[in-house]
Amino acid sequence: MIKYSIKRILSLIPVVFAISIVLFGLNKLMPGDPVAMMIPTNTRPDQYQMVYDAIEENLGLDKPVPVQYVNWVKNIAQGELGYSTTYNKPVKDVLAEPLKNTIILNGFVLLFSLTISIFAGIWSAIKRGKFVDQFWQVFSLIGMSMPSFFIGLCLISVFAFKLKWVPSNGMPTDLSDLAAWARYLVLPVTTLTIMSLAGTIRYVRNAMLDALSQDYIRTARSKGLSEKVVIYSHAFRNALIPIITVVIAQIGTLFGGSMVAEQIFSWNGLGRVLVTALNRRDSMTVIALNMFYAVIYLVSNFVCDLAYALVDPRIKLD
Amino acid sequence: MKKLVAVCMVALMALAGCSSNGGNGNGDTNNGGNDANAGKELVVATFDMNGDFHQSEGFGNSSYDKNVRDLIHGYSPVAFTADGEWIVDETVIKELVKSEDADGNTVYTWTLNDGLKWNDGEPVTADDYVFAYLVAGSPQLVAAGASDSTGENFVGYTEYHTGESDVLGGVKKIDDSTFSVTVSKDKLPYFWELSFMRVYPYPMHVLGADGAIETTDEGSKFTGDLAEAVNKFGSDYRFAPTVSCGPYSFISFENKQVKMVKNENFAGTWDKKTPSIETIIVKTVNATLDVDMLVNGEVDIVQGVVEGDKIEKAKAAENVQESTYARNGFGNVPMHTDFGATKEKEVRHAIAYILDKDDLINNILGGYGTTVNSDYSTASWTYQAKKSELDSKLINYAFSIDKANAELDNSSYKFEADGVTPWDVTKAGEGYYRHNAAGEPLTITHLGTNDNPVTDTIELQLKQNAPKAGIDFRIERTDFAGMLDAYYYGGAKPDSERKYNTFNMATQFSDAPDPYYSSYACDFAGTPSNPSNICDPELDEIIQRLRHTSSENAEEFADIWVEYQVKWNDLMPMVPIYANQYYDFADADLNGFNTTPFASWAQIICDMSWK
Repeated sequence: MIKYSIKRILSLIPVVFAISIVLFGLNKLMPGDPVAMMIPTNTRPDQYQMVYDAIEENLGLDKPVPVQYVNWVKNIAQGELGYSTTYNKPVKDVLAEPLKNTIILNGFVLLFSLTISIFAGIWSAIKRGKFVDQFWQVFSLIGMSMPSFFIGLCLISVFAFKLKWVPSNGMPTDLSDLAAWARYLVLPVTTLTIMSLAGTIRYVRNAMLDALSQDYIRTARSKGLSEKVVIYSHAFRNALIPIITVVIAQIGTLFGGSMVAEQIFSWNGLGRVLVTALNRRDSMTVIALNMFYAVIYLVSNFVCDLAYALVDPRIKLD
Repeated sequence: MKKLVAVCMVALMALAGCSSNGGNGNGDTNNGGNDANAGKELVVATFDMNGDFHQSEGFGNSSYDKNVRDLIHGYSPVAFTADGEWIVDETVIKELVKSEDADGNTVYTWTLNDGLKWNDGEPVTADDYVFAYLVAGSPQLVAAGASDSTGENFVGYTEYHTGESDVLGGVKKIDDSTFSVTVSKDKLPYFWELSFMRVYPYPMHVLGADGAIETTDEGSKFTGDLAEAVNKFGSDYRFAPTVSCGPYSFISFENKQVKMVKNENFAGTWDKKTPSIETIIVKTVNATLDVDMLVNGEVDIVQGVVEGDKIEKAKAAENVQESTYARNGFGNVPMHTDFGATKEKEVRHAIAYILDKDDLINNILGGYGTTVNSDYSTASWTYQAKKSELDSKLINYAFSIDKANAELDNSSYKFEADGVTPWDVTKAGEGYYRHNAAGEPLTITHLGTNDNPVTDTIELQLKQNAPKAGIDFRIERTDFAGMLDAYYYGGAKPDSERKYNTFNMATQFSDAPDPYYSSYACDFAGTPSNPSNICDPELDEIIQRLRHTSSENAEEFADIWVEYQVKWNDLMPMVPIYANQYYDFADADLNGFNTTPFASWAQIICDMSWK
């Protein structure tokens, strides 16, 4: 497995470079002048060119595009992600706080959605065709067919404005208050969990149904094993491979941000930063985020492959 | 694992539930009820923040950050009142002596009142003001990628600003509490003369502790490392200006919200008022939910509401009070007057006529707005003084297809496609457009922003109305950044790279609404200071007379202002399409919530208190 891992890691390097060239190139093709966007429109005309030249030089945009790319890669290697033209400060400073918030938000979403979907999926599979199964099937259908903004606004309307149980949107004003954090998290976590559950419950259910129909399950039952052991020790373990695919894919979203939900709930996360950066043509922030997402997904896939080998002894990684 | 998951779930729910305060649900200290008002924090909704809280707007002028800047910086020698008047701030200034130097330049000598302090207890001195001028005008600030026009009218500014001299000639420190500034004689008279003097002191003991102000007969210089001072200012202080001298002190900016507390050392506003509210939080919220949040008690102030349905909702709420005023600006359709068909004044007039402004105000603003026909706000004192004269002299561009056609019949676009046969209004419709003698069609390409109801309405109206006037109207959409790029910088490009004639934008008048800098002077045609590229010698002449009227001759100024409006109204570089009626809403428990077109809630914070 070590040999395989090294091979995979080495193979990721050219992929990352290829992605970086495409992203950087696409960014350069975007219309609009990032330097001009940074200059306040009330700048006196006689000062304009001087300020323009200074910003262009400071950002290294006065150099040819290939040189800009090489400099950018060098900076990335040193942990510098560029300079945000929207916030007028280094991109790494812009992203630090939203990254933390996105991980917190999506960490809870991942936790709840996996927990609920595994239990609900197994329960549905065991009770196939019964009310419980039908309930989760309908739930999944509704969750998949409704956009997240609609679910979010419904929850806000009921739980924030009607019942006044939780705040509607925003972040806590006292950032050291854990209880306030929890209250502000309830609605976005619930919205994203519902969205996430819709797909994963069906996935787990189908994987379990597939496992439960196998001969070894019949054998286990005929040996007189308890239903609990049959389901959790035999069926579920064999259903894990497809489930792992879903789980690992969701870990990618842990960092990816949830653009719509973060906008609705004014959650200061990466998704919101990306939307703002796109709207304002903040190219360095956009590139940095997209590179980050690309690397996260590549690593997720790699981890996924390793996990297969760990849970299924039949899979050999060579 | 199951146990761990269960514990986490229960913990989150318990945290959320056990400390719910039932009232507003946000769990912060923002509870209702008069007993709870002592020490209650004021939570203000905003839609975004860049986190740039410097005194000047050198690194960016985000309007979202402005309220915070207004709260934490203070002690300018001059103030702009809630009534829109420039005055000397007598809380800051003990004495102002105006004199003339040997060259005929005007010297203003300012003496500070005793006892002015920064929030860290250090005294505010003349050094801090001179230092502010030296930083703002320095080439080092430009090298850092910022621009600041503070002091631009002073003697010696150009030499200092371009790096020719390290001494700023027009600024002198006289003693610890006295400094002078010298305005070049060619800059005066100027109607908004006191606006030249607006400067917020920079804390030299924080930003320039390694140097001192050295004043000679030649002017003033900073003996320390100015580049380092600019660096501190640009990369640190502007994001967290903890040392300041406004009514509030900056505490933190985290997760797009700013926390500020009352500055106990603040001497007061120009009318000697000090703040009473202990803590202010400005927090970013979902713009579509701001009024609901106010009604729900999650925030205490929302500002600049223009949507009819939101206004109705807030008005109906018992726990909400309102403050309403005419916007000091207007939404508009600006045109590039040097490109394509919109070069012709008659075409611009026609576009003004085929835009149904009343329909737009009803559809977009729910009726909460009005129309103007020239470059003014109904909130301005000049409009109030000259309303009837103005109304009688201006062309009223009320919706009229007939008038649009009459204008176009006087333009070069009066033929059919052959460039010879007169265009016939009875055949008007899709595909039958006006052409000029060269056979060029009358095509107007409009650029609007995505997801914008104004763009939607313009598209609906002009798709329907423009063909009736023989105009081939086309519309494209982009994001706001794309719009700014095309409008502000498109004029500098060659015609082959240009595409758009009209845009939809909005304008806001500044505290010193000098039209020379705000869009219409020939000197700046093709730059972001005149993006319409209008250049009319007669308009230029009026603008110069207007701005160089003495501030003591208000009546003369108002007369020239009418001339300016009439000329602008005729040239029509942009079509004003709506002037909103702004609504600010606040918790009914707030006293003194009287915002005006010239003063936001932040600028009247010292008038406000909890009941």
